[in-house]
Amino acid sequence: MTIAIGIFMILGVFFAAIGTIGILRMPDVFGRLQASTCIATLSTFCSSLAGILYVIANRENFASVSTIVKLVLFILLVIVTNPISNHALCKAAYRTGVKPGKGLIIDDYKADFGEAKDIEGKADLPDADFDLPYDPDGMANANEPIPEPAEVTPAGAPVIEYASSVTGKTNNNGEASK
Amino acid sequence: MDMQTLIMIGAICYVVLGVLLLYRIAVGPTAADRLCAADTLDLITATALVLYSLYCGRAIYLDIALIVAILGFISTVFVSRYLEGRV
Repeated sequence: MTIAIGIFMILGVFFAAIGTIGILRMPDVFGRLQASTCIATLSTFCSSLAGILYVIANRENFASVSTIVKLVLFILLVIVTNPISNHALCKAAYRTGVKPGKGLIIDDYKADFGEAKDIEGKADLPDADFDLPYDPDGMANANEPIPEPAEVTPAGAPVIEYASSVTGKTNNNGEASK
Repeated sequence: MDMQTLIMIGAICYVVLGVLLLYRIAVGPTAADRLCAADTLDLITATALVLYSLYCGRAIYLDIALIVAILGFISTVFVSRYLEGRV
């Protein structure tokens, strides 16, 4: 049992060291995210498995069942939540303008949603208006119904649902007061 | 070498790796770099807490490790949404 714990412990520390070196040495954000995945899945899994084996090995000392349940919960939690947070972080890195060092060969996100600077202008709109499709070619989002054309103010900023919803609220209040 | 020493050595290695990650948090060129390193540091802290709780034989550190992992996930998602521009 000691040998098994040692093997899993060494594997866990090894993958953690690999991920840390990757985070310190990779050239851009996306490479660092890919290296951090190594820590989140393999290292945590191996170390917690070593912990489970340790609890099983001397189970007369602890309340062993609850400890094993908590360790399994920890593994499941990390495995479930880490892809979500990494996806959000990768999207944030793309939208804030970080580009990979060697450039992108295929840029599907740009083909679907446009450049990052076109989205930054709508930064303080609510989510429903933030996700309005931007397609310069008219080819993206071909399966969805065509959105109504937005009115253009003299300043050039497109007036979207946000302003009209605010005025609608005031109108509703006015009618209610009448 | 008994099992308890192995667990403690693993916890110390995790702490050392976490200290190394502080370099990326301090230096990282963009905010996304810092956030990536902070998320990973959070996971490493949680794993070190798990191993330390097994070394001590106290279950309270295990609960703290679970809470740290949950808070790291939530903070990463919210900070990246803030970086996108929608809070």
